[in-house]
Amino acid sequence: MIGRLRESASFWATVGALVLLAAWEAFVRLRNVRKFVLLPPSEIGSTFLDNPGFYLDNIWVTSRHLVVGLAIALVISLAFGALLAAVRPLEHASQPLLVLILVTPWVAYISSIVLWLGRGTPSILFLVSFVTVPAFVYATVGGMRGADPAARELFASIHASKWEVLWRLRLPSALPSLFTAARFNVGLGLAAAYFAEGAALSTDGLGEAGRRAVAFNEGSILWTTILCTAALGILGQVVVLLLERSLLHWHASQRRAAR
Amino acid sequence: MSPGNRHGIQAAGVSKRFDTTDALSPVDLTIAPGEVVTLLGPSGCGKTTLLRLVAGLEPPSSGTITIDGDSPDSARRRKRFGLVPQSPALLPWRTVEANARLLQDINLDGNPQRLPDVVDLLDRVGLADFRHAYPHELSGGMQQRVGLVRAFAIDAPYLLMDEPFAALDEITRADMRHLLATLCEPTNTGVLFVTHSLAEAVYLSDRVAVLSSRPGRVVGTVDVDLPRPRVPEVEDDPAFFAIETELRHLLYSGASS
Repeated sequence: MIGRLRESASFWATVGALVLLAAWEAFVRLRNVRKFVLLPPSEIGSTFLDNPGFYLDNIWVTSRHLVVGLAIALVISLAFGALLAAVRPLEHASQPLLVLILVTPWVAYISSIVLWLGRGTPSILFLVSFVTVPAFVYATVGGMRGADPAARELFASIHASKWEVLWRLRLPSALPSLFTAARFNVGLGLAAAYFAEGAALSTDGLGEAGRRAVAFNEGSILWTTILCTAALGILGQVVVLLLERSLLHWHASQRRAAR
Repeated sequence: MSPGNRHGIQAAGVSKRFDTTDALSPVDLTIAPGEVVTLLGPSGCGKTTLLRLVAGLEPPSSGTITIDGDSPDSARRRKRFGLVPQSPALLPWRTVEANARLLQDINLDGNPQRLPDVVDLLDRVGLADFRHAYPHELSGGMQQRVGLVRAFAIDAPYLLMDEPFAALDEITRADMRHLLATLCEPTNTGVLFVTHSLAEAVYLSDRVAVLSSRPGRVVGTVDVDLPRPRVPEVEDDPAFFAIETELRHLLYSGASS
């Protein structure tokens, strides 16, 4: 029993989490850190329990922004990526746009988006989708291009249609890289959603709750909101991981090393 | 299609040039319906190129190719070819059975009225118990057996095989050529087989065309008059050795010319 525990990854992850929380708690209490700078985990817990409905509602709002935004980005990226994978000049021509999206800080242009699309949800969804498109596009193009050349010949030898090649060969070939991009984009999209909620004059969402906490100098609410956002991010990673396990069970990355 | 409509595969004066290199000098080749013809040659001699020209995967630089009087492109459209590539090219997300069905599932309009039973074919190559397995769970030889079944599954009148056993070990290779001969035996299927193995060429073929090194040209054609059905014992027959020797001499004369 003990021996098996020592082998278990989740056992050691739990140990790591507990050590982290204990160190955090001890650091804040021993150094007497101000609430606004860092709140100990125990107080975050009690702040959450004072008004759980408030945090859960905001988590729900932000997770909707994240999921819908990522879904829009994925649909656009699959269509756009499939096109780029098929037409090389177009791929080169689209590089400036994709790189521009990647490197330009959203902080700089969020006000323009709000001015254009109005306050609240439209601007938030736009930002989440906009910043997550490049990684999805790169993953789609790379994955589709990487489809086994011998399999492509096989498809050609019986005159497979473009649609059949896309659906039965290129899209499944792109799944592994799409999942890698999804893990990255869950973090990026969550940051964009949080920031946009605070900046787009929306009425709810974790980002707006955090902005108000800062405005009213509420350190404990701010830190509880931050931790709720982190919890949402972890949840997102877990969902992606579980989807990956079920959809990519055939892929080398998902097989047990012992086999 | 009735045998009367079948003229076989005819390649006349077919050559291929890539940019500045000649891959294939003009070649004439015929494959009668039901005939097994092997292209034998050293690596890089253009034998795979010739197979790809026949399959319509690449246009020839000169010459004409017809498949039962049809162009290669039209033959592809009507699923006249069962291709067996060098790597098994199995799709890792499909089970063995689904991989074996792959060519049946694509370009449905080109399918013959009656498709062979894939499960039955898998049983014949000894993979019945692996129907629900995934490719990564199979050995190299088993993977290539799925590749064979996949090609046979559309009941195409012509099989095009591009060194299908090249990556396998010697013992598995021998098993595979014995298996392939049995699979081909009762059918009226024409086969274009590309290899650099003398034993494979003799064991499987009715006729062997020997190609010189690049740019490839046919340096000689040898008829293989061994009894059919071919059984593994034929490999101990002096006649088998005699043909092997003849082919080896042709191969070396082609390599040095």
